[in-house]
Amino acid sequence: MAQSLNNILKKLAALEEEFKGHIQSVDSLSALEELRIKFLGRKGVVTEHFKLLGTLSPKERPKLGEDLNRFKGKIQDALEQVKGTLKSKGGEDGYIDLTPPGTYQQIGFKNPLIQVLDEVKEIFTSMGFGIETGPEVETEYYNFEALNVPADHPARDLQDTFYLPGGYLLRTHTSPVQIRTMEKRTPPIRIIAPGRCFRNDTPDATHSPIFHQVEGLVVDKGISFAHLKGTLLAFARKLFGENMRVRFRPSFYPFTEPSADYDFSCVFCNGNGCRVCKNTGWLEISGSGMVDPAVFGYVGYDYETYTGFAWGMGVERIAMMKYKIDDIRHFYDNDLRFLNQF
Amino acid sequence: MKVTYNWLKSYTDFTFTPAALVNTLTMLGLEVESIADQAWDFDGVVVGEVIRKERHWNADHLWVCDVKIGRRNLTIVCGAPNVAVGQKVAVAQEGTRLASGRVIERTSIRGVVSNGMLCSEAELGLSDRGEGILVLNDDIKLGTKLIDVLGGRDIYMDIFITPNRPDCLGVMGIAREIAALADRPLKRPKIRLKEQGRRISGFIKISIKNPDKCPRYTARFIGNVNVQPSPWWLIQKLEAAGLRSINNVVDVTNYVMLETGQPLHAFDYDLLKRKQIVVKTAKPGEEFTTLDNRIHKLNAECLMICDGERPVAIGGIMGGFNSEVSENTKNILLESAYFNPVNIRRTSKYLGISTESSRRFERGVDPNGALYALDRAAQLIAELAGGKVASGFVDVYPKPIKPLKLTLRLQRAELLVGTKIPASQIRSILPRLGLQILSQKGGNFKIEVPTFRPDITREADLIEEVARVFGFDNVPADSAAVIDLLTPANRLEQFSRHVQDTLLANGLSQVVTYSLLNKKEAGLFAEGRRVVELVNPISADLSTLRPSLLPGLLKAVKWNLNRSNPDLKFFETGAVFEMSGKKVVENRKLAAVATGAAATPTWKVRPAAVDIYDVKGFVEHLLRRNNITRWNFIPFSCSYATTKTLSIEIENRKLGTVGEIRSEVLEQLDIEQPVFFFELDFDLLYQKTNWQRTFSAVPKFPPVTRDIAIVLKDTVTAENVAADIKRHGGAYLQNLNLFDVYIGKQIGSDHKSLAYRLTFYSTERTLTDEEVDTQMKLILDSLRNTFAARLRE
Repeated sequence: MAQSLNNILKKLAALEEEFKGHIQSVDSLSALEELRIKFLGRKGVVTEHFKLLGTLSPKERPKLGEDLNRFKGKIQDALEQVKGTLKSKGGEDGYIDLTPPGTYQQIGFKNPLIQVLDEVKEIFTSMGFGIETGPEVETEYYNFEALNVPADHPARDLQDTFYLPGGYLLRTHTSPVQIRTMEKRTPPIRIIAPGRCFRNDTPDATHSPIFHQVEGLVVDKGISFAHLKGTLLAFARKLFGENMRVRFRPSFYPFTEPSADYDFSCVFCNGNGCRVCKNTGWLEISGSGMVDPAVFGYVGYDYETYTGFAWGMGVERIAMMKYKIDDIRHFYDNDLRFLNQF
Repeated sequence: MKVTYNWLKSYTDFTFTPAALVNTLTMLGLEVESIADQAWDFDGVVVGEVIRKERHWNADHLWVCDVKIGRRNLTIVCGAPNVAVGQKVAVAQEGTRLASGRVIERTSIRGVVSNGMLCSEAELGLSDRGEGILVLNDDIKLGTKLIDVLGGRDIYMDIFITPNRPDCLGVMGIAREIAALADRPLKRPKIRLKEQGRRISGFIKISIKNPDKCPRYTARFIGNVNVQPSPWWLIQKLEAAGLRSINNVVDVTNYVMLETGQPLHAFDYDLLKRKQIVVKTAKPGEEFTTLDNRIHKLNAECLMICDGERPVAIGGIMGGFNSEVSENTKNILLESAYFNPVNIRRTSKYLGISTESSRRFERGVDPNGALYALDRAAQLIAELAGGKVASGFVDVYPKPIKPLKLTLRLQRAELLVGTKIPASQIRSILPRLGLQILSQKGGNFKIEVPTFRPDITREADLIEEVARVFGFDNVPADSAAVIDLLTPANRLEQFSRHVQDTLLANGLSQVVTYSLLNKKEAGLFAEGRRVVELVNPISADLSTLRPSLLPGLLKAVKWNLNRSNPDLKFFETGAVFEMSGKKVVENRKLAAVATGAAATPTWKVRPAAVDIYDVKGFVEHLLRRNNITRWNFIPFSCSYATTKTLSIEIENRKLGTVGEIRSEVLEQLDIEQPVFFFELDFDLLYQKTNWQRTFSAVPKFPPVTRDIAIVLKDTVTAENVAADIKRHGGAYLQNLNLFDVYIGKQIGSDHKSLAYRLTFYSTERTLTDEEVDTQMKLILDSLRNTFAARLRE
């Protein structure tokens, strides 16, 4: 139903009063913008009234048009003026205390053990290694026998094993993954096997009954001990820096022959000798060696055709070296004050 | 194996300093685990001679002695019963500090001034013997420092012997390694044995019934021994090796074992019935008392050394109480045998006895070293206990074990080690280790392996020997590699990382918790599954494998709550375990817990407490990030979760649960604030993850948004409302967002208000207000009709 011109003009006057009331109480640029939209926006009051022009007779239109334009002008002037005032006394360039800390979305922390594990995986992946995994619940066969550790052999004393019902055990190392991988594939093989391991050790600052290992295995034609040295040297330098040195010492593992323990130059003193490395300049990492012919026998590889090397690595130990953490139990306590340091 | 620097040096002339020796041994594979200086401290103790001895005028039990030290004479008051004129003795002069910390002063003893002290072994810290003074050899020059008489300062070393090297469980074996590296001869003590009297066959008959378990048994008879405490030098050696001194006869058997690696046993001959030794397996269930006075129940595998009537020792493991050498022993039967390593190992495990002897036999003693050790011990017993060694010896050795012959190909060694090894090196290295080169044809060596190296049975073992002495340090590091560029990407690994990153971005911290729990904790989350208990746990607290990741996560929560960290969000991925029939089943899970404030409180924002919608959101976000589009939440509860819990299904397979932990369960874990959780099947999530992402056009035309707030009965679910809106939203309703839920006075009881923002757009044109209004009317009409909803004013 069309409205009479008088009614519209009355309403317009009321709106003008309303606007005056609003503009006096505006105290921020955003409130000012809201007011602008309410009156001059695409669906604003003034715009809506301009639409009414079409409902009036041609005689009445100029009057309303004039009033509307005047009203629109007033609004624009008032908005400009208040905008200027707001800017000059406060507003955009006014005083504000900027010393409270900035705010952000806190993302979660990653246990440093996982960080180091991820880093180790990235390094070996970049060197062309694949990643294999295996079960934590193992059989005697995979954990010992196929690794050339027969029952009734004193080498079993080297690892205190947790046994489970039904003849199962908790793997004492990630080496069973070597066997599982070789069983299902033919050389060349170039893998790492990260995972959780278990040994019947009472927890203290350097021992944990649950720990993580990264096993490595390379099998191909012409693989030598020199390649083992090169691989672990490359790893040490990628993880700890270009000054790292690696030392290999003869040792004994039933699944490697020759066997070697390997040490990294001490990260605490750069190999100069300190309390941590007992003045030797070296920190013991873990065991390694050339895959024993007996192990190839179990998986049906021809020892005359292929040779290979394997190594183990304790992730906790590496993480402790990297972040200079003094107690292995920190990894498993998950104290927020520990986690938020990494 | 505990040894000393000087002890090693007595078998080979090396020039290494102690520090260099430690490094040398370590680089040979004999890792020195610790070294320590000898605690001896008697700088002011010198050798003197007693030249006069008179009874103290004022004390019956004291002597006043004149002791000559070089050119000086000292008057010293002494209470030792054994002091005698002409003895060479250890004199502690004024100012000397003894092992006990006592400092010797010039003092008056009952009116006679004493200018020092004549020392006993105990006072010098050499042994426990304190009843008389130490009497030294006659040929020592007066005034010599005692420390020099004892061979100078010594260094104790503890060497880790790997299980493959039984030969290095004897000091001579370690010395052989050093000699090989230093290219010096090994000095084996020469046997100087004086046999006398009747032949041994007149004293004992020996037979072996189980030659597979005891391939060799040798023995000697020593008569008329005088069993007494050992001299200090012998006690010193035993103590350096961590053994306790018993008496001179037993100590000699132990000493020769430490020297050669061959365990020996001495029987009191007069306690052996019928003068027979029969080596045979035990009767099952038979009981036997070992010399430590413990009773053992035997099985049919236990190999016993028996006399004519009964067992007198567990072969290779421990002697019997019934034939032990004591102070009263007059005649000795000395045994040096070779036992089968596997059988020793089994018996030792079965009986729970591990001894110096069993440790060596189970690793493999040299079967052809038995006689040398036997003779060496017989000689020392004769020297120290004054016995007479009967002529001859018994040697029952039905099938002599011969040295192995192996071929070593130089080419193979070079391939395995990865460097050129001159043939001359092999000719030099192997013989030094006792590996005899029988012949060489080109690069092929025929090698005879001595029986003291049971670890060398294959060519690879020989190559290890070459590499070890050649030096691992001399092998270059070869960092060239041939890699297969077609190595497939590890999807599971990528997936794990993706999950990890998504949850970390949601503010959850990634933790690592123990897989072992106490049974009670595990039981709280077992939900009717049978938990897996360890056969041999360390403790009750670490006795059961986790059936769920939740108890471990809750323990991490508790640890932090106890340390005033109240706002926690943790997740973990890992294996959980349960029994299925007789099998142990392992499954991978992804779980999280959240408690306290939903976000970090700041001066700008005071976040609400975590609730079910937060953990539900973690899961939904994770699913969406894994490009999974359809899933169902179904109301759920269980023994550890309240009714504020949902089960989540994908294509009718249960992915997991998300909800709230029951307060009764939290109480048992000492947690006093609400904890929300989710636990998902990691492998199912991996399987359902959709790796394929396909582009859909980015809208070119502006969207139209409409907000509506409706009031309806509070029993109507938001899920049903949303479904209804979507059903009537038409082709252009692209997004529906519930942005407010209100329950309260303004709308009356039993009602709630839901506010939605609807976004419409077309990919082909700009929508008109009229079109959208029409669609909104349809939606509202349906909501009114279906749910009796009304628009909120």
